[in-house]
Amino acid sequence: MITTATLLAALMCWGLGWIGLGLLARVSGAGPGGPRVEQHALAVLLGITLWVFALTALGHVTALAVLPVWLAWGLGAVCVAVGARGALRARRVQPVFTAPGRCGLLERGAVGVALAFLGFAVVYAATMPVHIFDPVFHFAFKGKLLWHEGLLGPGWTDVEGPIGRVITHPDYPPGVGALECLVAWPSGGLAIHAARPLFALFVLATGGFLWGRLRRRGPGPAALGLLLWSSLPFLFYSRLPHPDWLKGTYGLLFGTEAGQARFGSGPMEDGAPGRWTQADGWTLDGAGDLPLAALFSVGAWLVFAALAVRARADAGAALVPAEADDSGRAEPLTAHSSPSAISAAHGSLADAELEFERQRAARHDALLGGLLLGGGALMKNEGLALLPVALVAAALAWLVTRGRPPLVPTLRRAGLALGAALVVASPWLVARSAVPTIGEDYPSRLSPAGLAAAWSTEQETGFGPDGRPERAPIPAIVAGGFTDAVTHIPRFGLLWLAAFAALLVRARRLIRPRAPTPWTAAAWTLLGAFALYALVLFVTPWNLTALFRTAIPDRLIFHVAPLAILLIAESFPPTED
Amino acid sequence: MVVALLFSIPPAGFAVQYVRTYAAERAGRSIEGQMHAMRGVPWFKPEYRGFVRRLSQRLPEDAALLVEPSGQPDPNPGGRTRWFLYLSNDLFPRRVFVHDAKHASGTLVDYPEWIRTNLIELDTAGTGAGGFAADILREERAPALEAALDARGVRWKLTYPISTRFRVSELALYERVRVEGGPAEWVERDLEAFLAGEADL
Repeated sequence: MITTATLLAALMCWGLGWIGLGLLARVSGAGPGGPRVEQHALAVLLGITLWVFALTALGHVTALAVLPVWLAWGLGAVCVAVGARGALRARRVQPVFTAPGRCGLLERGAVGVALAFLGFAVVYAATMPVHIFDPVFHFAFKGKLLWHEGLLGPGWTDVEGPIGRVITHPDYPPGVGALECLVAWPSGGLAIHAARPLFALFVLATGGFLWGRLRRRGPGPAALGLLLWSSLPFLFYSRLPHPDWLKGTYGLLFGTEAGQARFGSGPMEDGAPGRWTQADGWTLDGAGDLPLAALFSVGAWLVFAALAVRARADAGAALVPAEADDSGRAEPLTAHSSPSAISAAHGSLADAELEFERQRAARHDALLGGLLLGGGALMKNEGLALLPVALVAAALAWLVTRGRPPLVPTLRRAGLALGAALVVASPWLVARSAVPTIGEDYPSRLSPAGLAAAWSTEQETGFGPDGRPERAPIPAIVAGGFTDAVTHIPRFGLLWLAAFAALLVRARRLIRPRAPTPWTAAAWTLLGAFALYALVLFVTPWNLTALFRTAIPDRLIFHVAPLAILLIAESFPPTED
Repeated sequence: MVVALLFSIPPAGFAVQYVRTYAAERAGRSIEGQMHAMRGVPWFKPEYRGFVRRLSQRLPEDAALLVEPSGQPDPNPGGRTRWFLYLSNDLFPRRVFVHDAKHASGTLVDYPEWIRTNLIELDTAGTGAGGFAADILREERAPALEAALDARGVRWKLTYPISTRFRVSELALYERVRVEGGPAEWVERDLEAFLAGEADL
């Protein structure tokens, strides 16, 4: 349901994002660069991050319901006006981005299909009530608490006495809830269904970013990346109308009633023939997975791009004077200097300017990427867990690269990114220590002893034909779950198979690249995320078979799906212009 | 690219089916009407939604309500029987309290333990399922429970059977009444009359 408050909240995100980009440009000395659509995408993601950060931080002080409605409209007007001014200024000041190659018929067709899918994502998000368990009880409920009680009110913490309040996963961050409060603010009351359309922004912004980044490589990779993302089935459903793939796909194409009429009832339920189910719309319903996938993947790629810049630690050294003697001491250029010396000096100045420009752009990307990574940590705990994975992947990529960038500026940029991420995540990090941990508590379970115990433990997986329970070792069940997820064509198409094929085909770029690129660190991050999630599933207290029925590990690996798309599309050779 | 286009056909089919279903079943309806039109969501069931709406009208926003399961313990309860959780969300900002909130707030792994605590250890249904040992435990815990109820201002108690079915006729409402000089007691009220506004608050 799209309300006036929904539209205002979306504009507030876009406007604050452009204000943020303007401030970043002042701090770093460089703008976002790239095609306009990428800049707008980054503005939206940054704006969402900044609002979620501000509202979560404010939750420490007060219930958000006390915020006056007129303030939302006032701030909204300011955001939109100043943000639009920033966007126009960027359009005026920045050089026009010239992309290599021209779109052919196939690329245009793919972009047309992708745009239709992006339009459908908006329609889909706007026309369905929030209805899935996790979005309602894990995420939207935290919005209610933020709105009525603030962060860490009794609704968050009163769970340990003889009687207490009910809060599922109190240790989940409140970012999604804060986004719902942003929609509640201009209307003066919570309406979670009105916040659902905002989730389409994550699809649009990620699509814009993928197009912009890949357009640098050529129209083919850009169109492929945009199409792979916008038509990713998992964006729209995790559950098929029928568990059998072929029947399920028939139900998708022709409707559940047509499927039921053609193939008969669904699987047995409670001893009776079951109905075919409706596809569910997991990611756009308001869970933290889509926001995390967008913020983490875009943020990580920006940071990796910043760390891959082979900028010299001493950019000023490019300004070596033209006429230096053998000792390296320079003679100042004068009107009497030789033409070759003056020409060489101009060249050196141009080199130095280019060097400074690259460093400024790298600083900008590191800061912006860090902020988005922090935003991901506010949306879902996995965002926090993926931060060290990205850091280790970046370090590994630096180590294996032959012509690697110098250490000190790389460390400086990594520090900037990490610092920005931690600042954004800080309102939740501060609160988290005071929130009771219930049930899963993965950090304490992920010990060597816990992992060793899981390695030799068996779990029930179902019943055999003779009616006896069947059991399997946990590592085998986890491996089977990941294999099923990666090869689940109806959920992911060929995304994961293509991503792993890209890793194989470009194995050299993974293991011993000649030059630094964000691709290497992104590839290690993908592998690291899979490894981390496999370890977490090793120690989960859940019955894995029951857990996998709820589309885990599919929901987990979805967090790095945009990175996988970048890996695939960046594996194609760049277009020669 | 051609392969990617081919693989976009199933989601495209879904998009067409979704728009058709939306136009036929939900377009033009209020959000409440759309909820009723959606199948398979326990907390969208019309009888439940109607109950929540009527109870919300009768209870002030600062009210506190204790919710307990009733009936026989179910060793393998499905997640769709967690009406305490749905009520806690849908009656908000009215505060819903439960016994053993830690297990109630946990995952489905913890749910059977919560049922056991309520129906056997605390014997909230009064079936004597916990035996003599449970009686002693309850006696020991009674002062702390009374203090907690007082501290949180809990005046109402609602009990429901553990079932995927939601029937208002199977619920029971109690009011905590303090007899002068004595301990507080739960006194059953006519739920239908209360919801209809015929009983005094």
